[in-house]
Amino acid sequence: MKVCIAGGGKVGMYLAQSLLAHHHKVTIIEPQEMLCRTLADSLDIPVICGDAISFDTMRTADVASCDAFVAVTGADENNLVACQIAKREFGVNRTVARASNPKNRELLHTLGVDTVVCGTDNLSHILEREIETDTIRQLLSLGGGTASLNEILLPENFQFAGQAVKDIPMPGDAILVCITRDAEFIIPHGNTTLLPWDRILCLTQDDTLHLLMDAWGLSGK
Amino acid sequence: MNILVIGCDQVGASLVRDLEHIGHDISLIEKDPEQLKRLDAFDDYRFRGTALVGDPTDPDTLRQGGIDNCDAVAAVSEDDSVNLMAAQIAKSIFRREKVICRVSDPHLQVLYHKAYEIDTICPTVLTEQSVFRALAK
Repeated sequence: MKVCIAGGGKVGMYLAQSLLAHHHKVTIIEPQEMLCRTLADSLDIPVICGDAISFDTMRTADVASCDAFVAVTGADENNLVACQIAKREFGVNRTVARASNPKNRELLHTLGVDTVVCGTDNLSHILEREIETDTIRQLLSLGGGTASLNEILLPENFQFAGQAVKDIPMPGDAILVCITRDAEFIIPHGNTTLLPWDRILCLTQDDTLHLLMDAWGLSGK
Repeated sequence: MNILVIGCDQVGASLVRDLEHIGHDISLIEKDPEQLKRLDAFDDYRFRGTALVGDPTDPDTLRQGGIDNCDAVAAVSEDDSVNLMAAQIAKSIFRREKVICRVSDPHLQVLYHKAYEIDTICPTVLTEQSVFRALAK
């Protein structure tokens, strides 16, 4: 796949590295000449020095031949406009923008960007959860940071200990995926019971995870 | 008319002055508080509207600036991306009909006028045309 990245800062550079490692073709657009030199020296890929929201730069970068266009500069409005140009003028199928401001995640999507990734939002979610409680750990962020796979360690005084899964409340959008009990791995069914010190994997929507935590008496210590 | 003006550089400040002169009510949003000093720099004019310091690409700031009740929006800051994003929010989120956007890049002007139906004004093209006319006479 051929990918054009607008913005050669840390995010752009690491993204380019990992795309290259997966055998994609990468071009970077970056306005700062110094950064361009560093990128060109270290990555051995085409680096176009120029403003990402200029037609000339995008034409030089041959954006029209790209399968995807990713805008990861620090300014959300530039990322939006760059993606819109890539889509409308150069016919790129898939556009991805980074939103620094969490509020802009929905907004940029509404305004036509295919996928919006908000690093700030994802990071603050993870931190918030780590701080909130040590019984729960996020293993995987899904759905662009709207859902996650979580590991929950059931406490010694777990209030539904010994009860069957079918009798335990499951508020919000949540699915119990598996249970690790000492060395035993269990795929739960309705009749499976939960015990203290079970490590369970739970797939949840992020905004309803707290409902589950409340119902199971796991929020706060 | 209630008019929301975004950006208070030389263009924005003069626009605000001229619109107030003919009796319009102005609400102004500008990122940089320093820029608002321009409003005090005119000899025979004092700003009577409301000015707000904030990010014009944030719907909450636009709401605070009264976008829900305005009859027209003019995004005239120096930054093309800021103007284009603010103008699109005004059009597609707040459903304002009259939205005018300053775009310095002629290519961008054409694209956004055609593809996004935003009324765009391009200072680059206007300057070129004026100079051309002055010389071609």
